[in-house]
Amino acid sequence: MLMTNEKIIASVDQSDHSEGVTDAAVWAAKQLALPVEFLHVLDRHLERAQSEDHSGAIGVDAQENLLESLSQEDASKSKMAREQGRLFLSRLRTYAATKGLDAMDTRQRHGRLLDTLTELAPEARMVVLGRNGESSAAGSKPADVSSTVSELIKHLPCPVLLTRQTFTPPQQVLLAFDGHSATRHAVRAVAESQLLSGLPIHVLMAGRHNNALQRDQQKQLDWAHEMLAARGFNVTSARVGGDAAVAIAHHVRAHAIDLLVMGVGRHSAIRHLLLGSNTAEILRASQLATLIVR
Amino acid sequence: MNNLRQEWLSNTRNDLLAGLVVALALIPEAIAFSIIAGVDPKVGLYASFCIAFVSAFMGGRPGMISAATGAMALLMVMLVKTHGLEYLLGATILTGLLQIIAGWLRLGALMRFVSRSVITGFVNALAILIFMAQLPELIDVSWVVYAMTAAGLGIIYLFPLLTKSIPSPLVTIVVLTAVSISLGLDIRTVGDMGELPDSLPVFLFPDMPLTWETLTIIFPVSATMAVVGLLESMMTASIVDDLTDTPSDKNRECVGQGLSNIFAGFMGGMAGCAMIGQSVINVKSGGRGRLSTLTAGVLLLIMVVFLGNWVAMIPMAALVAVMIMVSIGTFNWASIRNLGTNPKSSSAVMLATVIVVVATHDLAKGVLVGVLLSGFFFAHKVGRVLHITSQADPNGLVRAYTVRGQVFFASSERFVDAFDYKEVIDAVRIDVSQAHFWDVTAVSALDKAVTKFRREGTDVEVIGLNEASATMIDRFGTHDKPAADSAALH
Repeated sequence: MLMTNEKIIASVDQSDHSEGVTDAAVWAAKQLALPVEFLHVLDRHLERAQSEDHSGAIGVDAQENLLESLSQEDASKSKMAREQGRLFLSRLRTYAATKGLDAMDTRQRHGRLLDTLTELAPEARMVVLGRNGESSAAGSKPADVSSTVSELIKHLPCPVLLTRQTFTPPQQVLLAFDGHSATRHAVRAVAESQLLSGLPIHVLMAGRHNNALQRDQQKQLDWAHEMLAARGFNVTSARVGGDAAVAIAHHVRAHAIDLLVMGVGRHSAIRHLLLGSNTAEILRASQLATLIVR
Repeated sequence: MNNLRQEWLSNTRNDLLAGLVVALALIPEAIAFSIIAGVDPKVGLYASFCIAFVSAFMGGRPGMISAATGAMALLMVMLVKTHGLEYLLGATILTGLLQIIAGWLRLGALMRFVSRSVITGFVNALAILIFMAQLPELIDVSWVVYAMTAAGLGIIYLFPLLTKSIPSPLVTIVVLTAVSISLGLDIRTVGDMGELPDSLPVFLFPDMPLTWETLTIIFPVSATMAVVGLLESMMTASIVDDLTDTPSDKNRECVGQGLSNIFAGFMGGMAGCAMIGQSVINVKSGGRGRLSTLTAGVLLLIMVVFLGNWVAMIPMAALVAVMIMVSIGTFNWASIRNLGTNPKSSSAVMLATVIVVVATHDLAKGVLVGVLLSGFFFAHKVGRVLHITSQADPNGLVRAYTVRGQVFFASSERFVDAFDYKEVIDAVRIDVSQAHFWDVTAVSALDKAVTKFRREGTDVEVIGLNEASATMIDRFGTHDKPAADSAALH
């Protein structure tokens, strides 16, 4: 177990996203020169029952017998999940090694994904997640971001990299910017980090325009441009009108963007906006790997 | 948001089915407990709906079933007999208020003083009382009733061997009702026991004078009901915690029970609490979330209001069979098997709790006796952890006593008697640094010993009294750091 916070946690499950997550983690590890810890969470789903006994009859030692049978059921399920998880992680380790990753570790934990990651995140510089996974409902489209993931974005204190089933190292980065503190922080974080160094960055200010605000917005945008350019990034900045989600999706297609960066604040109004329908909308519309910075 | 969704919607299908199973078993119980309390069946049925409904939202233990219960019904018998239903409704509301206060004061934590033996005694007493409450239906009746009850029990326990997808208590009720109607049997039915609900419950303020006198009438009943209700709810919550391997919020449960009872009182229902038997049935049937409790309450009301005419035709024998099942399922049979192997003091506590409850029909009294007895037994046992050794110096002029262990009210006499006052010696040294003085009795025992020595002309030196009496501070343990302790010793 890697105990420093100088590591990347790659949260994997046995879904089709695990390869994308691994590739993304390998890329981030190389950029940041950090080790990766593959985390596999075994959730017994205590909130769900398996029982098919609707007889409603309770006899002698009803409580003891029920406890006995429920715990036996749980024990056998846990043991099986543990073995499967071990095999899965060892396959993943081999796969990551072929991709050139040396410094890595694996860890299995019992509990809910949300609780486990919230608990472990302080030990990490970054968490890599699939856009959805085993936990998402069978009917949901693979493009959707699962509710568990949206919840995680809200709770994790460190940057989160969301990937699709496949991940290719990004060539063109888009930073969604609105001038508020959360996105200004994202600009600063990108400027200071090694993660995206050397990549061309598009700073896009989208949203409805209002004349009185225009000059101020342009000033903000210039600030972001300068900030990134000073760090040697090849920056393109643009201000467009209309709905943010639509504008971003359009820009993504037009410029072959393959990584989206979004800033999320803790208490700002923008957090509400971004984490409300807007973030989900942007995430859904953009359909690509997304780095969420808080 | 995520938590809310998880508590309500993560187990939907199972919760709905389990809620249905529970609702079917709740109907006979609610009717039976109304009869125990001496009120119309509709009072218990309305109560069961209200309590299940509110506690589904406000309770602290998802998946636990609360409704009108036997434990509470037994406490209201006298009040109903002497003052009538309206006073019971008032007492129910007051019970709720007291329970909310208990939740705010975080009295749920007091449950740690109720030992395992007392809990077992409580559960067993409850099962016995539920069983005894069925006896009036079984005494002085024709053989038909016995045959019906036996057949009912047969169906309840044998039908699950056939299929576990249909609740066997439902099959019992349907079959026995059909038999009774088709054969035109002359036996007592639910309809003979009083009024059944013919409409949804309505909000009404209890019709009683709001005076000091009223308060003196209902307060004692309400206080007892508040205590018993919370005890059974806390016990049931920890049973569900164990079964599902998930935690509950005990103080939220206190407040939730309180709100449920207030709502029940205003809607014409009697006081209730969590039910051990029904909660076990719920978990067994796959109920885990709040939805199961809500489903149970709502389906109960729908079935009773819309099938009221049919419900009235259910023979009491069918209900008796269901209630006997609940009492068998609630009773802790292992406690009988373990009577021989458990420590005698634990068995005595359990039996005393059962006997007091069965004699007084008051679970609160039983628990009080049980808790006091466990306290006595514990004090007695710990009082034996006291060792006093002594050694005279080579000249025979000074004797050194070393006291190790616990000195308090239960061991102070042994402490005083352990010294040899009649020994002719110049001085004694009593080293108490390895003993704990827990109360004023311990200090006065030491004073007594010192005085006795002095009367014999022996000089006394006491060593380490400060360390020994550190435990006397009331908040001992809360700021007791091992590091600080060892620093003080050096």
